[in-house]
Amino acid sequence: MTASLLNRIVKILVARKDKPLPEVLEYRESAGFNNSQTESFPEGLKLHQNGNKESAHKKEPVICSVLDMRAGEKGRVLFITPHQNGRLERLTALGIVPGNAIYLLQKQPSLVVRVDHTEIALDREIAGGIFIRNKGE
Amino acid sequence: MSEQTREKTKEKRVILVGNPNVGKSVIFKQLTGQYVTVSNYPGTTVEVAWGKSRFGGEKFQVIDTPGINSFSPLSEDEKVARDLLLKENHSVIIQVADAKNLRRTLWLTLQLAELGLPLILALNIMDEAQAQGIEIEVEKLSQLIGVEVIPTIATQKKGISTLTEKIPYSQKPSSHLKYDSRIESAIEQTVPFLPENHISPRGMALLWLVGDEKMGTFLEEQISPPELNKLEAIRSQLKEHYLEPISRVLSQERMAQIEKILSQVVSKKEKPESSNAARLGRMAMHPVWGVPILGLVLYIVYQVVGVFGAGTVVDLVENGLFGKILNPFFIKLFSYLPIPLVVDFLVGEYGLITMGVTYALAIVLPVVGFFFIVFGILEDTGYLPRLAIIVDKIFRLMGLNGKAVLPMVLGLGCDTMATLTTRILESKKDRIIVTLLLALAVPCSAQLGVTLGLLASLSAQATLIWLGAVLGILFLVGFLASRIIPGRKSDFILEIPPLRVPRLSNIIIKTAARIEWYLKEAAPIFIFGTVLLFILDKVGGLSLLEKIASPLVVGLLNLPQEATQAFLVGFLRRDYGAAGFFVLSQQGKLDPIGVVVSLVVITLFIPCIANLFVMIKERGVKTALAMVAVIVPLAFLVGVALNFVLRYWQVAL
Repeated sequence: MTASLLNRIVKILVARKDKPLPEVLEYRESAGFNNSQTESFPEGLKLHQNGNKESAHKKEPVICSVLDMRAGEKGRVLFITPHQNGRLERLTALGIVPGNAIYLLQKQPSLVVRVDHTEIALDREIAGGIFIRNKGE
Repeated sequence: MSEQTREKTKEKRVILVGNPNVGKSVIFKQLTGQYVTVSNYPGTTVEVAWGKSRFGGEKFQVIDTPGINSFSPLSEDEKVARDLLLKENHSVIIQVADAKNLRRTLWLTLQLAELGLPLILALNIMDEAQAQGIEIEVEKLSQLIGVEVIPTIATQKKGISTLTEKIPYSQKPSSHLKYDSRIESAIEQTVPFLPENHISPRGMALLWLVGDEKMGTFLEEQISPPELNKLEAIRSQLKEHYLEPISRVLSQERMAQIEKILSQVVSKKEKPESSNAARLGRMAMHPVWGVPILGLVLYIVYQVVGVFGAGTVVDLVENGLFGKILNPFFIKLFSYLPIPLVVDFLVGEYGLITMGVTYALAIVLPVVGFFFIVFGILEDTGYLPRLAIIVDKIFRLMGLNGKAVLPMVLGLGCDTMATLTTRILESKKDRIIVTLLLALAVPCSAQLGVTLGLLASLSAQATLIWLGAVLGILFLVGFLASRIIPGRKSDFILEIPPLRVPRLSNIIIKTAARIEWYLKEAAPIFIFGTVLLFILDKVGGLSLLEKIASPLVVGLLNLPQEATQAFLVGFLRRDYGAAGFFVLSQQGKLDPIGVVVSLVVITLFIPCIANLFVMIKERGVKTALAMVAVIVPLAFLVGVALNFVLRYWQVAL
C-alpha cells in the first residue's frame, strides 16, 4: 500500500517535471506514518497536487506540498523530493527535515517558511518538492 | 626549515566555524582584539581572517571562517571554510552556534565531532533564545554529544572568559555516533589503509565512504593504487546494500540521533512570539507593506547621504574649510617656494593639495562617511535580506534571484568588496552576471554620494532621468547576459535573520574601519591620479588627449573639453571622475543636460582600478577583459544616445 502510494507520487512528479526518477527521502519514525512495508497508510490520507487548493484545506489530514499551503499555515514535513544534487543536504542543514514542523509565513513576493527559529526564503520549485501533512492554522 | 617556520607550525590554532550569522566574527574580535566586519546577515564574512592571542599563557592563532551549513560545501565561501578544516592542522575547533537553532547546530556538531579534533561548542545568542522561551540543559547536552558546551552572549561579552579558559584544555569528543552495523564494519575495514593525518581515521573513513571529493584526491596522493582499489571495493560493496546514497543514510541516522538529543535537552515555554521587531520584520518583506518600507528606507538614505552629506557637509568642508581657509593658506605658504614647477605641483590647477587632497577629503570623504554610517545601520538591522525578498521577482527577470541582491546592495558601499561577496552565489553563471552588473551599473558609495549631491542641486527630474537610464541599462544588460552566458542559475535559499536593534559600538567601529580602509585604498589613487594629470598637463599630453577625444566628448556628448580629464581619472576611480564633473558644474561649465549625461556615462564606467584587479582575481583575466570591452563602449554609447534624446526634445531640467 505504502509502496504503491509512493509510486503514484513518483509518477506524478515524473510526469510533471519531466525529470529522472527523484530520490525520495522519507519520514521514518513519526507515529502514524511508518515506512515499513507491513503497515498500511492511515485512513483518510489523501494525496494532493498543486492547484488542488480546495481539497487541500479540508480538515482531514492530507499530504500536500508547501506550495499548496496557505500563508500562515503549519505542517509537518513528511518527505522531500529534491530535483537537484545537494539540495536535500542543503535543506537538511537548514532544519527542513522529515518530522520537523514547517510554517508558511508568506507566498508573495517570495515564499518564506519558518522552521524551528529560522526564517528561510525558498524558490517555488524547491518548496514544491517539500511534502507535508497539513495541520491547518 | 628556519627557526621561524618551525615556530609557526608549533603554534596552536583555534578555528571558529559554524552556521552563517551566528556571531563567529564577534567572538573572533573578543578573542583576538582584531575587528572583522560584523553585520546581521548571512555571508558577511567571505574570506578567512587570521589573528593572534594567548590563552592560558600559550600562544594561539585564531581563525575566523565564512559560515557553513554542512560538510558538503555548495557555495565558494562554504568551500573556503571546509577546506581549511580538512587541510590545516588545527588544535581546537570552536563551533559557534545560534542557541535558537539547536537542530541545525547539532547537525554540524555531529559532523565536526567525527573529525576527532578537540571541539568546543559555544552556544551563542543565548539572550534571544531565552527571550523566545527556549531552555537548554547545557550539561546534559554536553554529556550526550561528548563535547564541552559553553553558553555565550558574545555581543555582551558573556561567557567569553569561560571560553578562553577552556581553550587550552579542550578535549576531543568523548563519544561519537554509532551508525548501522554495515557502515560500522565498512569503517573498520577502511581504517587500516588510511595514512597518518590530523583528522581521526574514523573521520577520514566516513568522508571516503560518502564519496567526498577532497578526501578522494587526498587519498589518491597518499596511498598506493592497489590500496586505493581495495578502498573502492569496500565502498562499492557498502553502496550495494542501500537504495539511497550512503551520505543520505548517514544523514538520516544523524537526524534521528539529533531528535533524540533535542527531546532530552530542550524545553520550550511557548510564548507569544510576536515582538515588535518580529512584526516589523514580517512587514518589511510583506508584498504590500514591504514596498512603502523600501521607499522609506531609500528616502532616508537619500536625505542623509545625498542631501545632508553630499550637500550640506560637502559645502561646509569644500567651500568653507578647504576653499576659504586651508587652500588659500597653502597657496600662500607655498608661493614663497622658489621653483614655480613645485608650487604648481602642490597648489596649482592639478595640484596635489588643491586637487588631489581636496577631492579625496573634502568632496568624497564626507559623502562616504555618511554612507558608511547609514549602510552600517542597515546591515545590522537585518533589513538587507528582506530587501532581497521584495526585489526577488525583478531580479528573476535578469536570470538572477534575490540572493544576488546582497552583493548588488553591497556594491553601493564598495564594488570591490561586493565583487568578493559574489562568492556566496552558488553558480558560476550568477557570479559572472553579478560581477558584470556591479562593474557596469552599480555606483559605489563615494560615487553615488557625489552623483546624488550634484543631481540634488538640479532637480528631481534630473535624478529620475539618471536613475532611469542606469536602472534601464542594468536590467537590459542583466536580461541579455542571463540569456547569453551559459550555465545554471543557483537555487534561491536564503536565511532571513531576525530584525535587531543595531549596536552603536559596532556601527562606530565598523564605520571607522571602513573610513580607514577608504583612506588607505582610495586616497593614494586620488593622489596618483592628480600626479598623472599634472604630468600630462605639463608635457602637453592632456591637450592632445582632449583633442583626440574631442569628437566624442565635445561633438557627440556636448560636454566641455575639460570633461576628458574627468573621464581619464574616472579610469582610476569613478568617484574621482564624478568629483571632476562636480567641480566642472560648480564652475558653470556644464549645463543641466550635460550634468545628467556625464553622470550617466561615469556611472556606467569601470568602477576603479582596485575593482578591476578583483574582477581579474575572481573571474580570470579573459572574462574580466571581456567585461571591460563591453562596459566602456556601452557607457559612451548610452551617454551619446541620452544626450541626443534630451537635446532633441529639449527636456527642461
